[in-house]
Amino acid sequence: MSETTTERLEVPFTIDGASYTALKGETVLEAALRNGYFIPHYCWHPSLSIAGNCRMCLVHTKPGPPKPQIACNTVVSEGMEVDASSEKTLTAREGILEFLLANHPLDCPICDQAGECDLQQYSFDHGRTTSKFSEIKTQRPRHDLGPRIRFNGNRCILCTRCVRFCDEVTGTGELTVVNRSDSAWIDVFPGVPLDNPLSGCTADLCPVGALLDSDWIHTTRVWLLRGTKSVCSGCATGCNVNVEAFDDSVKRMTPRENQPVNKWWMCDEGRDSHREATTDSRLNVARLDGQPVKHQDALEAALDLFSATPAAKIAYLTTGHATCEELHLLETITDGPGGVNYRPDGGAFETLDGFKLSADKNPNRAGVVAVLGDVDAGERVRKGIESGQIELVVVCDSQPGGANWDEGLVEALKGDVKAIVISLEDTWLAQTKQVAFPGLHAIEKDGTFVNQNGRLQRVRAAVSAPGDTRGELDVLQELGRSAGHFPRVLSAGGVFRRLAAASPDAFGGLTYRGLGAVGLPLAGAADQTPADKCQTYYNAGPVSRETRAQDEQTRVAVHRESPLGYGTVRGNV
Amino acid sequence: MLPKGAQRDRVLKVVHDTSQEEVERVSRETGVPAADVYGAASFYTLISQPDAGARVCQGLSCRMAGSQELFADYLERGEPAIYASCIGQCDRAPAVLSPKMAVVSQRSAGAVSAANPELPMNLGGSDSLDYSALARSRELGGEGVLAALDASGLQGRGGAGFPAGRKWRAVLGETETERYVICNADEAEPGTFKDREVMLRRPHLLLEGLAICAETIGAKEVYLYIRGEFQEPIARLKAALAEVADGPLAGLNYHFVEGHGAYICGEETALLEAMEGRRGMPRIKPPYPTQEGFRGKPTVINNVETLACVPPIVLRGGEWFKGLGRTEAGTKLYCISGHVETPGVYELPLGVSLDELVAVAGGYVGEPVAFSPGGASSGFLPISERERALDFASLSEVGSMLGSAGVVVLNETFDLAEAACSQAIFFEDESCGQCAPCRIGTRLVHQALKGYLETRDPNALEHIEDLAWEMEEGSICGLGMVAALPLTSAIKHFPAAFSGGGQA
Repeated sequence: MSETTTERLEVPFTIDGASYTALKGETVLEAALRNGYFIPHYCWHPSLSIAGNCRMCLVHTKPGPPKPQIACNTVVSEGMEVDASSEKTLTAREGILEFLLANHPLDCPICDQAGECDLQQYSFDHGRTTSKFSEIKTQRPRHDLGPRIRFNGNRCILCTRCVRFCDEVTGTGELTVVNRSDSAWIDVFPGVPLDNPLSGCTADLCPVGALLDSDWIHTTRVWLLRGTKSVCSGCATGCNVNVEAFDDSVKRMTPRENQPVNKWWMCDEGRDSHREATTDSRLNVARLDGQPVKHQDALEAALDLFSATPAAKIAYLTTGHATCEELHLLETITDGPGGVNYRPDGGAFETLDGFKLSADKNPNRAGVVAVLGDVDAGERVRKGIESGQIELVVVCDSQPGGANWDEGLVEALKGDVKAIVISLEDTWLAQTKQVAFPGLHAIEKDGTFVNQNGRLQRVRAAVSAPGDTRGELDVLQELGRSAGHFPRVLSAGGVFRRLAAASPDAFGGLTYRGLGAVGLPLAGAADQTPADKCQTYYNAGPVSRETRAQDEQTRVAVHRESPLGYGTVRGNV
Repeated sequence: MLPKGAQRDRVLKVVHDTSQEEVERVSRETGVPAADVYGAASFYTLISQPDAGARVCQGLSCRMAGSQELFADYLERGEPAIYASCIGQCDRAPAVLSPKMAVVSQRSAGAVSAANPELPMNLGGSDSLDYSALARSRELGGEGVLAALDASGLQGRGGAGFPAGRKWRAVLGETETERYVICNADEAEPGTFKDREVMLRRPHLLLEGLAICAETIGAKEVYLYIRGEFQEPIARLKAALAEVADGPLAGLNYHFVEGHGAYICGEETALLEAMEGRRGMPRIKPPYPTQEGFRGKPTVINNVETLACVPPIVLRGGEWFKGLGRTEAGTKLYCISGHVETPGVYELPLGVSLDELVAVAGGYVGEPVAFSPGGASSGFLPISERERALDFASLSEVGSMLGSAGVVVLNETFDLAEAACSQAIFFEDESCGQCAPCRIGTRLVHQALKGYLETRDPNALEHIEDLAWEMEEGSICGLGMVAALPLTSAIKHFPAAFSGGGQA
């Protein structure tokens, strides 16, 4: 029964004479994209209602009226013949582009969207080299819509993606189209700015340079950015992101689609999280008794300290920002108790389409439970110190702003107990204890986090750390090696393999490489979506950047044909 | 998605202007986000320009009768005035709407056909309160009414000519049982003022037609969407309803919804958007209103005249109605204005020629040169087509259309380029701005024409054909598809008027 149902759901049809299969009820645009046939479009987005206003996806269909139809609102019927590239169709499409360009300022050289602009891309693909219009362009306002989003009305093509996003996804309804005819533009109501937790997504969704993220504009041309597929460390949601950097400095973070985790979205707080790595309060040099020293000197002192102390007298303290690999190493090289500090809860938000921004601001709380099991906030470590049981504490603190240890524990740590500190921030522990090493921020390291729903995902180093920072994995393994735990220092992937072997209940059957771009569920996790179901077929790029999804197909050709050698480096893997 | 309990339907009923305080008040009162209220309110001219003063009609007929001079007079006197799109008073051109929405004109209202009981709508006759057709429809039953409608061949009188019976049947075929009937009285096509006359003279005929429709398709709620500029017809209809509400119409709920100044809301899906408190932008189809209309429920939306034809069809049979037509079924209310002796609304067999129509309207004034057979959307035809039947099929043969049958005759004194410009201004002002071909195309058409009128350089109009084709192919709704037609048809039939010389 179920087999025949599946069969019946498939509808054969053709595009430009080639045979494809659509699912029952699917539109021409969806079916085309799923089959890898790209039909240009602006206003359509898989997460939003169909607006049908950009008219870019015009195709001719048989059966169908003589006029072209919009592919985004035409349901495929059995045996339908879609004509998506005949001269007739392309001429109509060119006409649409010419209309859009009749109003659009040709300011690509100073526009931040240039390089990832759908209007630019389609003009390349479908545009005419000349325009028949010499009319004056319409002038529209240019102002801030909210604290994050800047609006350039002249560039707007009124696709209303941003308006629909605020209506249908965040449900906050800050945006609207005001006025009518060619005097219409996108605006907020005065006094109610576009200030929802996901406002940055409106800039991602904007297919042109009308809505821009004021946090990143005027910094880098997008074709110079090198993207790294990673995970945001801002909260327990674990949004999949592209960490985009130029000249070894992160310029912006944009969301990557992962349906069970973050759909196509990420929050504004997460977008700013890379700034935690560039604060003045960061520890960027090793310290010995508070004094800056070379890494090697600090390491020798640490090794002496570590090997002089029996494992049972060594405790560890860490945070919800440590990767699973770091947690595993801490647990392996010490025999004493451990304690974990978590960042206090922050703002939570849930969109109407089910994207949950977590109140838990610790990216790896679930990982702590999976790797360490039952740990407290440092109570047992405090007791150990006070009773003299514990002589050395390994502190691994990669929490931005520094961990906020319990008062009693702080008092205990201020005493004679020795400590080896690996710290993101230049905390009082780093400044006063025996040895301190600079730690890494999530944008600088490799490893894995487990999100709130039990999905194991990889963070990847996008930029180098400041100064002579070796990072947690390196230092912890050096310590462990001296005690005979490891024969040699391994990469994050190597450590993960040891972790998987040591904790088969949670991590059994998982491999580091196998996690891929969208991660995999831990055994028994709430989110059991397999990797191949995490991304819709429409495009694999972050949010609206359809242009990027086309990269593989068209940009190669563009490069080859362009005498200027377009796009020397492009990071959108 | 709106906050729970938000009443979007009420937004346009309670909002009066787009000031900060007003929008905030409406937002608080209805629970709809302020931006939504602001966006919707700013769409409609009567709300976005509430205190603009006198609204001087710049429709083609009024322009021909000197509305520009009239406007200049206002300015000279220091009285606030703005240009308005056609206010549906072409028989009284040039006409002005006072700030209180009263029609101001030197001329009295136009003529209508003399009383004749053999005419279905019989505008000259007296309105009857007996509602015998409604009683008859109950005897016939739903299927009987539909059979009569089918036999009558009644085509929608709003402009598209869609068979009324098929529309009703489509709604009957839906499984959803909550259904609506809407009377489209947003009459705003330049040159058209027939619905106004039906509402003023035969309100009971319309109310009865609505009742028959509601009972046939199983609707309890009946809506009348009437343009806000029509205060007199609204008052007349309300009074008529009060006369019979407890009698023959008991059991049906009639609701009045006033338009707020947007031609596009005559497009049925834009009308639905306006009724639901949104910006009046046409929806993409499918789904059609018969499937998902008002509040997402199956809805019949018929023009005033279409509905007014229903009672006589039910009473006297579809065959009788069909037989009244000449080339197509039934009689038709032809509006005629411009350079004729007696502008007005005349009920004539569908398919009369221009000459016959003008003969009824007292004859031509001056030497006729061109005419626009069905409102701005139908473009212009040369007077050599004076013998052509004014019906749906015959006019589409020459690239025009019957539309709402708002016929405007132009004589040799009026420049065709000026006339085309008048229509271009209309479409530019009334484009909803949703899709690029219409939003930008209408502006480009107007600019090109303006450029031509200023310089008389034919090169200004060089690319109009391509532009028109692209607008026709790409637009969402009919407005964009025909917006360039007045110009292209004028160029086609009157090349001399666009060759730089001036007059045709």
